[in-house]
Amino acid sequence: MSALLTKVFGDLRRRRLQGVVIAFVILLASGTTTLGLTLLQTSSDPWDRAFEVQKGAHLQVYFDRHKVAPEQLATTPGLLAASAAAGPWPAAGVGYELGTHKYRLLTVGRNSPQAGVEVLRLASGRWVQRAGEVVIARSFADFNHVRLGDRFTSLGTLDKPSLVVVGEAVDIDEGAAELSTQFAWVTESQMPLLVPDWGYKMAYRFTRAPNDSELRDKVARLEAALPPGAVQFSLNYLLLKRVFNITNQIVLTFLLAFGVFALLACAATVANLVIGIVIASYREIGILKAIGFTPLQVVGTLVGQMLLPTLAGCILGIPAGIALSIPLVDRAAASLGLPSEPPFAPAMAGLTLLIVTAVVLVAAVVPGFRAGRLTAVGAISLGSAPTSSRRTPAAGWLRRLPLPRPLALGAGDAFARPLRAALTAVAVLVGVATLVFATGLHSSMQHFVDATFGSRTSDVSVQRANAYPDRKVMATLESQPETALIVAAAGGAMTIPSVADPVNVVAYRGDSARLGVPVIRGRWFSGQGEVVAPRATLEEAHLQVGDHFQGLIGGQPIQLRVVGEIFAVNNLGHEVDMDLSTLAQAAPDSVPTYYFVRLKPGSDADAYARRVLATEPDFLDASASQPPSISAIGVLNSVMLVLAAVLALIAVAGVFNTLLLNTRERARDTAVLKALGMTPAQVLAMVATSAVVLGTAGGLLGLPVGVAIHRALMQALASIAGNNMPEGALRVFNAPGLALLALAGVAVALLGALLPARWAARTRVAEVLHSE
Amino acid sequence: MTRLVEMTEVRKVYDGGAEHPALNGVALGIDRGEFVAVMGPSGSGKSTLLNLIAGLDRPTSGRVVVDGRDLGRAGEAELARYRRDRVGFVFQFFNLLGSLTVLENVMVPAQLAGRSRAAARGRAQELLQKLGIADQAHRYPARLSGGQQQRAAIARALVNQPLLLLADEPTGALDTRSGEQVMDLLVDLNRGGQTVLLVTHDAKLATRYARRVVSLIDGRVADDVVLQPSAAQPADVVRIRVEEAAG
Repeated sequence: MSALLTKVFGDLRRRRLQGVVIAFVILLASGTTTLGLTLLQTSSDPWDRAFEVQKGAHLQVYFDRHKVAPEQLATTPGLLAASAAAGPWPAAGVGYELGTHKYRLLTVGRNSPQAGVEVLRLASGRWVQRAGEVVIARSFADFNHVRLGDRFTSLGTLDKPSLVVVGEAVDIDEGAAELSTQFAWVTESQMPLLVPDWGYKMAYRFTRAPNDSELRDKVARLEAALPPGAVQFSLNYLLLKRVFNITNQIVLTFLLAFGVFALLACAATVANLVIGIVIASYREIGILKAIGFTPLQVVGTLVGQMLLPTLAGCILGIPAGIALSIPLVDRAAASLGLPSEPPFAPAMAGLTLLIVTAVVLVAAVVPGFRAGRLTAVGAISLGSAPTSSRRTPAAGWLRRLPLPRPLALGAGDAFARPLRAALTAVAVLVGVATLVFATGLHSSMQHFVDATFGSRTSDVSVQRANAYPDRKVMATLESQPETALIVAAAGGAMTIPSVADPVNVVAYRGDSARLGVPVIRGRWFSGQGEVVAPRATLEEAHLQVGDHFQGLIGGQPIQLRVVGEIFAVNNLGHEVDMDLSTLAQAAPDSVPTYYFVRLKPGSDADAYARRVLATEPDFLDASASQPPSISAIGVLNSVMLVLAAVLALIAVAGVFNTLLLNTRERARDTAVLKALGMTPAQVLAMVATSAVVLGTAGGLLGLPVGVAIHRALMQALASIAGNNMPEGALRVFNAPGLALLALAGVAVALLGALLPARWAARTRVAEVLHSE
Repeated sequence: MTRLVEMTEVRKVYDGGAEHPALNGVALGIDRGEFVAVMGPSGSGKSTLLNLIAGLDRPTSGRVVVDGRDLGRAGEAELARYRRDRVGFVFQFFNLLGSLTVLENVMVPAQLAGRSRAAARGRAQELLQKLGIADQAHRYPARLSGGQQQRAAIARALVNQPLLLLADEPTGALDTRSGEQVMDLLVDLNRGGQTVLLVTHDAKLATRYARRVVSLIDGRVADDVVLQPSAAQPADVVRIRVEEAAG
């Protein structure tokens, strides 16, 4: 074994505790980084695999069958230069009833799950063979606990045909059941029996995966070639993939951000430790040099002491990160009915090892060079000089605070070494910032859900089947004594230049401003021709608030003016909201099918909904408005909780390390103080005060950093959903809450101080002073 | 005079040193107002004896009673209070806290004892004045000469008006002149009624300033001589006796 390794192993034996601290923080940081990087590599895998296996469609287009014939549609694959196509299949949104629940499913008439494009994979049961049978999307079945053999009643026509569930299919178009449109399939001949009107769906696949602008061109080519209004709606694979991956993408954003913070905290801890070792080992460094160690070898002994625990931490941390990523990757694979595959990504594991090692190397080498540059004589004389307490202005000021002497001494000790104090404060800062973020996230997500699902803030929402007229719904609602406000909404689709797919149109009738849809900038529409839209629509259409543009609704051009940016995550921000009178300019026959009802104060929303439902149980669906429970948010909150715990632990380790160094360096002073009569409790209080000062500094700095990170990441989250975050979702902190979080920094520091303080209190005075 | 320190059959064995106890059956009594020098060669057990009387360590067997308090039975906190209130400690290397000024160093034991800042300050200033280093009060120890540092350390040791002043080789790190000044100071204090226990390996120093010299060899009291003021060459007497005891 070389002299260098002998020295490294010897030092590690002597500094076992510090080695364990380093291995521990590296374990946590490498685990977090691996989790993030593994997810980065594997998050899109399940969808990509399923897309290939099931010959997923790059582009799906829904057509108005009154404007285009199936024969014309048969020519469209050639028009788009598609390598494969499927359809036309009849398709329509159909309302169903099962027990007391009503569902609206996008129902497609298909005689076979096989096709040149968009193969459907049966997860259970069999495919539909005759009228009266239906196959449903598996995620929908799981979410709503629907079983094979259950009977749906179709509410699309007055004779309400019954359909038995014969199979569950996996479709790559399906997102999470609680968030996305869900699908059902019947035989082609069944469709006319379910709804009076339906459209056609075509699915196209291309040799080379097209990008956003190529997809836009293809839709534009279809619109130009077919009669106006023939193209009702289109969906491209990029959007579907984004929707499918949204949970992992959000989790990934946070994981990567906090992985970086964990590495920062690690670097601070390692640098602190190496600086401490250099200070404590001047004499030994001098002796090493005197017996022939080169400067580089001296640096090598210090770096080696850090690298070995780092490797040990990585050996445990990287597999732990991979293991933690399994549930997240499995969740994605399972929703596509794919077998779970171990998410081992050797490249990512290697990359983690590389990143972590590089961070530790830099953190160790920089202070290590300080030791390397010392001359032998200089180092020995530095090491042999009597150790004296350091005087820095901050420490001096703190020592003179009008506090009991042990507390004042402890406060001063915290800043006796400003660099060490700063690095420790950084570790606490990162821990507190993460706690601030994790706390804010919970409240912000609640706002996010409220803004998303309760945005049309109503007490009761009502939906009618096409077969039941709007006027009857209105008459029913208006006759209820508790009704305070009714806003009805009709849906549609609009083509906007430079936006790939037609966007959703929500057209309101009534005083829609009172629904409280969050307006990010500008104002809510107040007249005909005025619209509001979320960020994704505005950005893709290159529109600003105040701009005029021309949209196409049902092939009819319509002049519109953007008066506001709103928060609306439906279709990832591809939506335009307007008054019904505006929609009527292009689509005069549009009639609302949704009704948002605000009740008078004190009304019972459930009783109201039950009463409305009883007036026409078959064709109305009424329920008290409740934000759904979204599994993705649960996943996110859990991940953040784990991250906050990880970073808090790293902070605890950082404080522990610093106080250990401080108490060892100050062992003589502590012994003197004990000889002068400082009691063990006073020694404990002195060391704890050091920790409190560091914790307070880190905590106070961590608050604004945490709030800023919260703001930035929530904006990033909203961006993923094609929106800007409403200000209300960002202003979730209050002064008492923040004060409590700052105290968390103190708690973290005290936790880290526990052992060093006890050890200091047990200093054996006679031994320490005798060894001087 | 009344008895201040009473050591009875004190034995102290460090870990793994059962065959060579640091103290082996030491019996020693010190009265209030005495100036006792404990001397002996390196490893004779004099520092151990001092540590036991200072309450920094506990005997393996036997009793160490100071001012009626059995130190072997006292808890850590009680020992700390004892050191703070009853004992003043002067070290060979001064052991002043480098981050505090001279005045602050002297104030520390008083503040630890719960005295107000103002009271501690007043007492510290009074002592610094008395010891002739009032002009150094606001300087840091590193800026002071060895003699000045030791005076500051003595002031610190006296701030709580201890019953017993323990001095461990107080001149060991000083030049001759500074050493003499420090010893004169201890003598002055003793004349004022302060009990002083001096540990030294320097026979001349012990016999010149102390009124009683206890010699330790291999953990046992080899000699215990009260020096008469008329003794012509006390140092020689003591040295001969120690050499005889050693054998």
